[in-house]
Amino acid sequence: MSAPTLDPVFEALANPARREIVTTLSRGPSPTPDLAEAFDISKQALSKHLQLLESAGLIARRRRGRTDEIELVVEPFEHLTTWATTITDVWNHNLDRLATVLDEHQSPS
Amino acid sequence: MSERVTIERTYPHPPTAVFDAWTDVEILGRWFGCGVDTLWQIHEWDPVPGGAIAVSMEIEGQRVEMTGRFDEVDRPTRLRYRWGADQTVTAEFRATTDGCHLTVTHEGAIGDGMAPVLTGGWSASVQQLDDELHSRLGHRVGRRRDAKPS
Repeated sequence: MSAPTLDPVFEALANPARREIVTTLSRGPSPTPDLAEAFDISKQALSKHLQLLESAGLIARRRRGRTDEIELVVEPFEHLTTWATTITDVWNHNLDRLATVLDEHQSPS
Repeated sequence: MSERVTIERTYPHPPTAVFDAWTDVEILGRWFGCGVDTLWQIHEWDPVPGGAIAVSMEIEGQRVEMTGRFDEVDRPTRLRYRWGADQTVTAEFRATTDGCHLTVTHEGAIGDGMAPVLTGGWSASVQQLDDELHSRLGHRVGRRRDAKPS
């Protein structure tokens, strides 16, 4: 019911700066120099954040001329929302069945 | 990280009848499942505080087992049990003029190693992140393949 690959995702997103990066990338791919500028952080710091996000499978790099373009990978985020969706589905089915069972089971009292 | 889902229903039956449908294994076995037409086989279901839960089902030829333990059993108002290692289900039964209002709260912690996430203020910002990503992912986040409308 829960996705086994979520731990690195949550760890990567535990940091506010990395969440900011993810939020920015959700608007579209961005070259690394633009990201460094947008967040006013050193190349080294950015590189470390990107490494963590990449190893969690949240971003992908594409070579564009002399720089890397960073792109968000959407699949891991789908898992974040599907736990709740799945559990909601399960309970909706259960509680619909419960209604039927109660109607069948009711004895006049 | 802990996530929470709350589902509410109203049934035209007294709280005792709705409550008993959760504790009487014969009734429970006819509705308690996972998905459209998959019901749990109930091996242990001992609705007293500390009582054991053990259920199983076959999904695509694979046997899935689940265990749990009752935390609170207060007929006919409240039932709470642990589900698996890190999930909790609470059922609250409230009498209405013509029946019973049922609230089911399912809470789940996803995986271990969540401490850094919790201290990182994850829960405060998850909604914001979700909102931000929603438009981009919305069309791809659907129901599970096997979940058909009933």
